[in-house]
Amino acid sequence: MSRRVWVAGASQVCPALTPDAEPVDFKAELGRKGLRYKDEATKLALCATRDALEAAGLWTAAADNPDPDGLAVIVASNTGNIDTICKCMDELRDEGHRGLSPLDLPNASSNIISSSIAIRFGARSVNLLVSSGSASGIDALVWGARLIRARRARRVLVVGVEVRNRYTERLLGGDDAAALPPAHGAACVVLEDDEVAQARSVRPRVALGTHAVSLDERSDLAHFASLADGGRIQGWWTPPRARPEVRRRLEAFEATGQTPEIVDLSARIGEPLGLLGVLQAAAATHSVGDVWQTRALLTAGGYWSGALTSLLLEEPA
Amino acid sequence: MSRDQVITGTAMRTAVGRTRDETFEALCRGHSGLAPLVAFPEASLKSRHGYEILDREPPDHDRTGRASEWLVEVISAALGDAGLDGASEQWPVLVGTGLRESRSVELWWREGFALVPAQTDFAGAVRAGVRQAGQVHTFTNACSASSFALGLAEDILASGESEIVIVAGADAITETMHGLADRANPATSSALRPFDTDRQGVLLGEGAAALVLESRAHAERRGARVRGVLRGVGLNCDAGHETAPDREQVGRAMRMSHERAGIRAEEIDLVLAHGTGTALNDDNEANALSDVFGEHVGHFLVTATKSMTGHTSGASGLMGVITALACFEHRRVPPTVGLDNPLAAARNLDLVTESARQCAPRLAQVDAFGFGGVNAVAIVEAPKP
Repeated sequence: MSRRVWVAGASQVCPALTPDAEPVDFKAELGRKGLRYKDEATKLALCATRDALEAAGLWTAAADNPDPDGLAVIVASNTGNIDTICKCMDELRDEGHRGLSPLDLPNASSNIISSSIAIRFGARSVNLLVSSGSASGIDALVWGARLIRARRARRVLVVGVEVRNRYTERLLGGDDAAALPPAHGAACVVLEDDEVAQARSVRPRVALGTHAVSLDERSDLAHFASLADGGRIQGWWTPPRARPEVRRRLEAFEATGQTPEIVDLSARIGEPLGLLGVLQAAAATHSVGDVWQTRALLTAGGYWSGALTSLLLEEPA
Repeated sequence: MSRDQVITGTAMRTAVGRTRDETFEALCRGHSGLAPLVAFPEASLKSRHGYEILDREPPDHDRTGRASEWLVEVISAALGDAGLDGASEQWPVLVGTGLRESRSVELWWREGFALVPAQTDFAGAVRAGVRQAGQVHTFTNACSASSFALGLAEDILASGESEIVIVAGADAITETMHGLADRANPATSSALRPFDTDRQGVLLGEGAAALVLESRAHAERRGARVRGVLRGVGLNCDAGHETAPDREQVGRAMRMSHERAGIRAEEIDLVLAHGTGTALNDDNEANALSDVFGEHVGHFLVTATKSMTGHTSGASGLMGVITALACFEHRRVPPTVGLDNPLAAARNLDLVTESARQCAPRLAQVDAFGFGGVNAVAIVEAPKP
């Protein structure tokens, strides 16, 4: 049996889920220092991460992160720095090389999101940006669990973040009839090794369970069967069911005979890409052990070349 | 840690060679891919040079998806090299990249080229072009991306999740990154000169590399030729500054790699340096080597092939690994060209300069450090003779 990996804390900063809320005031949330040249994706990710660390009891006014060398960061993002690339391209073509600002150099590297999180919260273990398309968020959670099981990290900050702006609206819209407007927001879950949680006398409720990947429709039945084997699934968080190809693949779930409550976050936030899996995990963490008692299934991907990818969150007996 | 993970197939394509063997031969001859950039408009360029792959026809006629094309090409070649091109199984593909298909995004935004969201990562292209490709993961992790991918592949194999993992890296030069790197260089750079006192900064290169990482048991069962052994990859993050490297953390990544490999520093006989020709990296890397190797610092060879391939961004770490295996096989280490006067911090290193060195290295350290302080150091060993 592999080591248990807990969700020690979770949070999201996703304006579409709280429509009446004021726009995020990053300076008030994070302080002025170090924010001036950060892009929108990085600022959203920093807010979500700070909140998740606080929820995990690992970030307080009194003490910084207690274990920098054991803290890893994995960010799932596909649209993060499209704005910087396009803006710099306009500057180059309109004004020539003198039009560029060297201050944009850090943001031109997509992993500015993950490295900025590492810098602010003192995370010196593995640092990764996953941009594998529509399944990136669940992939990031699975990679996080692997890092803990391989003993490369004791805790992992898993973050999903995507942004809506004029560039991503055009890129994701295109000629795609099923396209949703891009989602805008970030989510973070703090994964923690079992022994480490025990050592600080914390008993989180939710652990990561089995995961499954199917590359095409032929393996979808086996995919869902393997996940449904463990017992009753009370909640199922799905990829965008507005997409016909996704709906078709999700039909394979019916064969399990299970009838969970279904939540399609994309109907509320738009095209979620890498944000989805992590946002599902953050939302489901608050439901498992509360509304749903024991088990939630997260599913992402299945379109735009992304594999259909699922992960169980459960409250161990 | 173990000798249970072996590399059974390798391939790369760079500005100096269409294949791995062509590239290694060119590197050993000291042949550089440096040339005037062909596809970007004059007005975009301060420094006019780079290390491009000349595959546009006519040369200034750009197209989308070049990095994806090279990626499919090298993965196919690596599978062929491993004798797996006829296999019916599918394995995970871990791709490390600094810039993804950002050149395609630039062409889409500014020149009206067609682009769909799926083309911004590599899954679609690799799955369409390589029958053995299972789930494709794209790690956008700056200039150490493919070495991070190698470290994660090590973990997948160690956990028993898969017996084979395909690891790759690919990067095409983007107009914006060329421009921004150029803005940050202290002078208009006309060549990438690692560890030289007169270095003028980084210039980008492009290309792709791939290898097949396999459990030794699986490789032995099918009678595969072993090109090298992956002993371990150390991964960490400075968590200090977005673009300036940290001597202590870079040294820590080196020590982690030795620890994971179960070796002492003095057993290393070859270092493929990150060596980017920038003011910050080269001093820092040389200092970290001195910190970690102490009195043994002059006892191993050091070379920096970016002096001929340019800085191939996220693909560069894996190119270093594949070059190290070629050094084992051919008993030669390519020189660092353009290195005339080593900077003070590097004077105690045994840098290979001018021409290739005949030798028989057995254990190599491959450095890769990226923006954001992402450090990855890989240790590879020659196969048993």
